[in-house]
Amino acid sequence: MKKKFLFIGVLALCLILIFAFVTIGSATPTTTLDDETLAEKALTEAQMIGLIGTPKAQKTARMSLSEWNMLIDADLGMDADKFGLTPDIPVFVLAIRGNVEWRAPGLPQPGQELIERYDNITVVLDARTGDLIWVGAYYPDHPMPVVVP
Amino acid sequence: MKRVVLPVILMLIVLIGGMPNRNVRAHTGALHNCTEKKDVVAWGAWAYINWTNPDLDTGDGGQWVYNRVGVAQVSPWRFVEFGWWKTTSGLQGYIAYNDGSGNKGQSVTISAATHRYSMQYDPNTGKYWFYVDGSNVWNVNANFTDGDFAVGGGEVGYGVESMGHTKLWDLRYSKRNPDGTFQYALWNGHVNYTDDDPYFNTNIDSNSFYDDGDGHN
Repeated sequence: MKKKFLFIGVLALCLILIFAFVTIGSATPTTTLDDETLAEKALTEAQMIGLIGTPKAQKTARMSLSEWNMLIDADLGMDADKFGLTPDIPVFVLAIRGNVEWRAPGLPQPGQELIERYDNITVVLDARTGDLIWVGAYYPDHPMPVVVP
Repeated sequence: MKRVVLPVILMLIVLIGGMPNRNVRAHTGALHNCTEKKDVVAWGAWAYINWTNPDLDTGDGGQWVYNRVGVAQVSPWRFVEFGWWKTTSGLQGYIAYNDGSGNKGQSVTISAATHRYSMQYDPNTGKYWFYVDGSNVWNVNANFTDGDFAVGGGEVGYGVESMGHTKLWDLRYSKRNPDGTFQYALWNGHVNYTDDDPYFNTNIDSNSFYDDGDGHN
C-alpha cells in the first residue's frame, strides 16, 4: 500500500515538473532582444537572401507588427493569432542600401534568365526572438518603407 | 507492464516522426524551379502540399527549398505564392509576392505536416487573402486582381538541394461566378512553366504532380 502511494506521489511530482517546464518553455517572451543582436541577425538574413558585401548605408527602426503592416499595405488575417501573429508583436526593421541579388523564393517571369538585382533590401524580425517576419527589395522608382538615403 | 509499454511507444513515435526522409539530392549553381501552370483567369489558387523534409545538404552550400502554389499576372508582372519553405534555420510557411515594386516575402509559422495552402483575391479590401487549411493568416495588396495563370511547383536556392519528391495535389484555381461570388475549380490539366535542369515535375494526373530533381545528373 505504501509503495502504491509512493509511486502515485512520484508520478504526480513528475507531472507537475513536466507541466512547469512546458509552460516556461512555451511562454511568450515579454522582453525584446537588444539592437545590436537584432541588427546582426537581420544582416545575416539579408546576406542569405542576397546582400553582397557590406551595406553602403542602413537604418533601423522598432515598431509594432500592425504599424509595419500598414507601411506595406498588408494586415493580419482573421485567424492570424493561430499562427502566433498578433498586432502588438514588437518588430525590428533593418533597411539597407547595398548590392542585392535576390536569392529568396519568387516566381520567375516568363523567359526570365537572370537573377533580379536591387540596390536595397529590408529585413523585419520579431524583436522578441529574432525570427524572420518579412523581407523585401524595391525597384529604383519605388520608395522603401523605412527610407535609407 | 502498461507503464513500460506506453513510454516506449511514445518514444518510437517521436523517433520515427523526427527521422529525415531520404531524398534525391540536386546540384545547382543558381535559383532553379520546376513548376507547372494552368492558363486560366484565376482569382486565387489552392493545393495540398505534403511535408517531405528535403535534404539541404548544407555541407555543399544548400540553403533552401520552397514548394508552393500561386497566381500570376503576366503584364504587368505580378504574382502571389504560398507554400512551405525549408531553410537552414528550419521550416516556415512563406508567402512570396511581387506587387510591382519588387520581390517580397512574409514568413508564417506552420507545422511539419501536409497543409492546404490557398489564396483568394478579396474585392472588398483589394487584397489577396492567404490561408492555411482554411485559416486566414495574412492579407496583402498585391496590386492586381485576377491572374493569367495558376501555378505550382518547387524552387531551390543556390546550393545543393532536393525538391524532396514533394506532392502537390487537388490543384484548384478560383473562378468568379456571374453573381460575383468565387468558387474553387480543379485545374483539370497543366503544362510546364519552368523546368530548370536538373529539376522537373513528375505528373500524376491532371490535378497533381511531384516536384523532383536529381543533382547528380
